[in-house]
Amino acid sequence: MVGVAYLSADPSTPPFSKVGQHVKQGDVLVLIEAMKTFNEIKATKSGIIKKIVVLNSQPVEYGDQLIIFE
Amino acid sequence: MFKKILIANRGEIALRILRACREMGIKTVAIHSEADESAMHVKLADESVCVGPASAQSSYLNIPAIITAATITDVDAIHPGYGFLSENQRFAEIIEEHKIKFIGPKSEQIGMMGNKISAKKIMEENGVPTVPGLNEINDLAKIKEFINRVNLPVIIKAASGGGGKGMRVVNEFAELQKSINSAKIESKKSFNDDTVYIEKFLKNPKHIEIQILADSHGNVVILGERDCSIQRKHQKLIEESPSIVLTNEERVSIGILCRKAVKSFGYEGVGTLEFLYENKKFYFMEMNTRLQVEHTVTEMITGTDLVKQQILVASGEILNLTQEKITLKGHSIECRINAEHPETFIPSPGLVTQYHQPGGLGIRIDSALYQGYRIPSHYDSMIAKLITYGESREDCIQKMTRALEEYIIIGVDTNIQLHQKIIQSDEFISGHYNINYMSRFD
Repeated sequence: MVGVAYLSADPSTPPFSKVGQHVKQGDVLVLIEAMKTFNEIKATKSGIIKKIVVLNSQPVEYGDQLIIFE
Repeated sequence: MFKKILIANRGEIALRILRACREMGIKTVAIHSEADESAMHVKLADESVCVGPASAQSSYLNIPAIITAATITDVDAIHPGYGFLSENQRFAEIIEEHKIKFIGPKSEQIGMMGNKISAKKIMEENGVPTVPGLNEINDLAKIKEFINRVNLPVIIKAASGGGGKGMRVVNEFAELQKSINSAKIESKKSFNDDTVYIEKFLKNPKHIEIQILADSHGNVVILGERDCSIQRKHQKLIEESPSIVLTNEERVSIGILCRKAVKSFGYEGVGTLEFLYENKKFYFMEMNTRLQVEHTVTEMITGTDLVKQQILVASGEILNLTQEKITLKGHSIECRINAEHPETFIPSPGLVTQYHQPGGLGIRIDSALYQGYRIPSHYDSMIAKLITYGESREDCIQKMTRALEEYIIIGVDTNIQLHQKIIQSDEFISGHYNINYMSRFD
């Protein structure tokens, strides 16, 4: 998906994911805003977050790495 | 008449306005963001000014930059199009302060209709039927009395609302307080105003809207109605005119009331009164104080160029149309083509590698697309409007079916296949569909 990535639902709320956090399959990791709609990007499998590559409000494209799991 | 107009918009509507200006001999100034440098509306304008980076907030909604662009290019009017700043009272006010004409109503009229409670009050005073509602929501006894009168379900709405935000349907009395509270929180967050009110909730209504056109001398005409019941998440998808369910008597009588209401507060410009329609009854919802996306179907069946009319009345001219002269001839349907997946609705910006648009008698396309154009991800997903006109509704549907087959857009996903499914469904063909039609695709 092409759009702008956001790490939290809005600026006043904590981010969806933190390094070292254990996430379950289906948990929301980031939001990508494309064409005025916010699309939830969910974890495809359970695991521990090793690194968050994407920055808040950064434009992203197909094939970009967003989050790396351990 | 105006000599130069700044078009404070992008995409197909900027092009639509630009075309009207060109035919009228008016020079145009396009504004654009950094992401829209190669957009069609920029290529075709006489002058263009970049007003900011890609995000709409810093460009198409950037009032200081737009006003500066208008000042340096020395325009005498600004056309806001639809969306963006078209119903922003403050924007209209600032333009008025700069002695530039805002092509639309006066700023205070935008404000009056922008607040749903005050809009409803004006309509009620003029005998326009509205949805039964209650504005006083702090007294539980009054709410109980109201619910006993209109029966459940009811809906809680935000006074400053739009786009479905701050709305809650209440089916059980026990849910009431919780729903009021959550609607208030959402409304405060979205519109910075936590005023909410309660209305009777209609289960299976149609969305029918009335097009009006008014000059600054108190003349008002009605240009028929549009049935916009095919909508998903409050976004219209297909519109048609005339509506198959209305009798001519119903059309005339609601028209008389709309004219009276609009005249009562000296409204000028084009405008739309939106109604829900159920069991042969109209219920006023809100008035849009601007040109609408679906104005095209009205143009097709009335033979009236609404954008030109809008510019003429904004320049102070007396309306060259009378109600007697306006006749509704034939039938017209509009399909909004969006860059999104036809089943998942996931938006699909990107490069248009191949583009071929349908043609022939009765086909109209309003679009800023071209082969090699990269659809940006920052703005709305609507990339084209396909409009067909036929002698009868049946003819119009046949033309739409044929045109959808011919339309080729390669490189991005589009909802063309979804339109084909809808247009060929028995319910659409019968004409007796309502606003819940699209829920089957979720």
